[in-house]
Amino acid sequence: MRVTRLLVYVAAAALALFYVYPIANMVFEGFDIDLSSIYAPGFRLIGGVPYYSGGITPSLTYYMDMFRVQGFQRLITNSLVIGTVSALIATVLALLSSYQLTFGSRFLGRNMDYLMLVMRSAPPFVYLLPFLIIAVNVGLWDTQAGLTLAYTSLNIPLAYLLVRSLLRDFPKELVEVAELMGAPATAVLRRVILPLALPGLAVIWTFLFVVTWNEFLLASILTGPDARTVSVGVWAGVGEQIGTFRTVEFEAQAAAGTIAMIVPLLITLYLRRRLARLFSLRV
Amino acid sequence: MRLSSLIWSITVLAVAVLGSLVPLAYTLYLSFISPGGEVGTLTLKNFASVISDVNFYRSTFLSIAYTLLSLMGSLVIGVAAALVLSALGRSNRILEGLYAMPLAVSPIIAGILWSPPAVWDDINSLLHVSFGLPFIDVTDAIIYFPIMTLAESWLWSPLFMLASLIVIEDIPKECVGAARLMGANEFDLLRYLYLPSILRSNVVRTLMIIKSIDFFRAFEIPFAWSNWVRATQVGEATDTLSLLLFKQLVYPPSGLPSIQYIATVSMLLLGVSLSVAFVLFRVFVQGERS
Repeated sequence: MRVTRLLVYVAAAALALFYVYPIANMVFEGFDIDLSSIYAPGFRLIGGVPYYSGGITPSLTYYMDMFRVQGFQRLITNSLVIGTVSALIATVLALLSSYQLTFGSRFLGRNMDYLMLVMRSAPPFVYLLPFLIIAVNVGLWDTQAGLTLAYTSLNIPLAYLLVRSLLRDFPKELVEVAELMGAPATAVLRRVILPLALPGLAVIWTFLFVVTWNEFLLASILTGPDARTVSVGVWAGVGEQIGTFRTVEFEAQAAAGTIAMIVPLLITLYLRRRLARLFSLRV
Repeated sequence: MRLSSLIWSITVLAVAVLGSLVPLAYTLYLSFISPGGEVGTLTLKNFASVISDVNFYRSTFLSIAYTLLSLMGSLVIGVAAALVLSALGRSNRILEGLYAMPLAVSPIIAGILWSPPAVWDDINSLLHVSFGLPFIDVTDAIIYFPIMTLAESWLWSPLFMLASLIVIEDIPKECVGAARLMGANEFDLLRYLYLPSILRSNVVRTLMIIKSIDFFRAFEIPFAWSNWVRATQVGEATDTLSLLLFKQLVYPPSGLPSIQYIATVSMLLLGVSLSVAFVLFRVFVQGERS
């Protein structure tokens, strides 16, 4: 019994190291602290590529450079605006359509469920190509509006499936009683459904926001220097063009990555169980 | 009443059009037009050229291998973490929070975290300096391909862990108590109660299917690694299908972006999506009936 307990503790420690070390390493590197220099200082070759262990020289240089020189706050604003608006529009549209299909036409609902499942599984280029061509032609490339529209479209299938799943668990009797008493659909939605479904909708919105905040592919193609989002900025550097396969300094990436992680980290830690439950989709 | 039903219908239509029909129709159209052909003339040439392209098959194979390894890694590590947390009892909340941290990390940052200058630099240093072992050459495809899937597992196994924890906590205490009374030890509980409950649960099955789809179209981590190992040409070992399409768009071998090629591959993959969605649909319907 004691051996089993010991094994559990060893496994728990090993897993903690596995999950936390990469993040801790990034946070330290952002402050110019190279943990490996504790046991391996100086130059070394890894796979023929020379690396230099920078040592422990704590500084805020990379953070100051990020905000004072490169204007990383602009990217944070872009991500906040685009993530908030696109997740909100997708959630509202999903709520309205799910309401109609859950408490109205059930046959249409099944077909819509299938269509949305297909689109949730579709390769990202199915969205990317049309939006790239349309955005370039109508002047929406590298604008917050263009990326918001693309993300709204990308988020709609997932938002729809999640909201549908939420409404299916909703007590139908309440809706039926309200309708029997002559309440119009808008009143049923506003006064019966919304008050009860609001916490679930908030979790769905939050989840979509985090997905949008972390998305990279669409943002890297549909934006240039003006509407660049945080995740692209972390990789490509602020204001640089994506797609050059160039690398910004690793410490700068680590500092930007640390900043980029703060918002999703707070949300994820707070809502982690509810986020996991979202995946018990029932359509 | 008429106005409100009009509003509902318009909303449903907007969701369908914006969420699926516009992107679908446009990509479908692009896959049927010839790059240099007349406007309005539809052709099957794009499909013929994709089907005869060796890079397409190579990337499909890599995407399947990537999916299988990532899924297996996420599931095994996630379930193991859940079982460990469950064995620790009530004192596991802080540890659970630590284990869940990767969920907040965007995939592109995960690509950076598990890169040669980050974690692998430290691992190599530790192996070499402390244990006198040779450096692991992470630029070798045999090495970096499993590392990419390990990074993917690191990123997503917490989701499997949380889902498994929910399942474990939903198991009635009477069941566990009865099993113990019948003489079951920890290993028996794991083998006959916890693992079957986790693997048969709707939430874990759904996650497995959804993440399979996501791993199959993975882009960020292979993209990051293609930079670290300088695999910038089409046909490299990092080229999952999404990265192949990205390279065709941004670094086309012919010099011009192959929009039609990308649209055609996307439509072929959509066929796969249709099948997967059908399986998903069956799983959900079955889950609902049971």
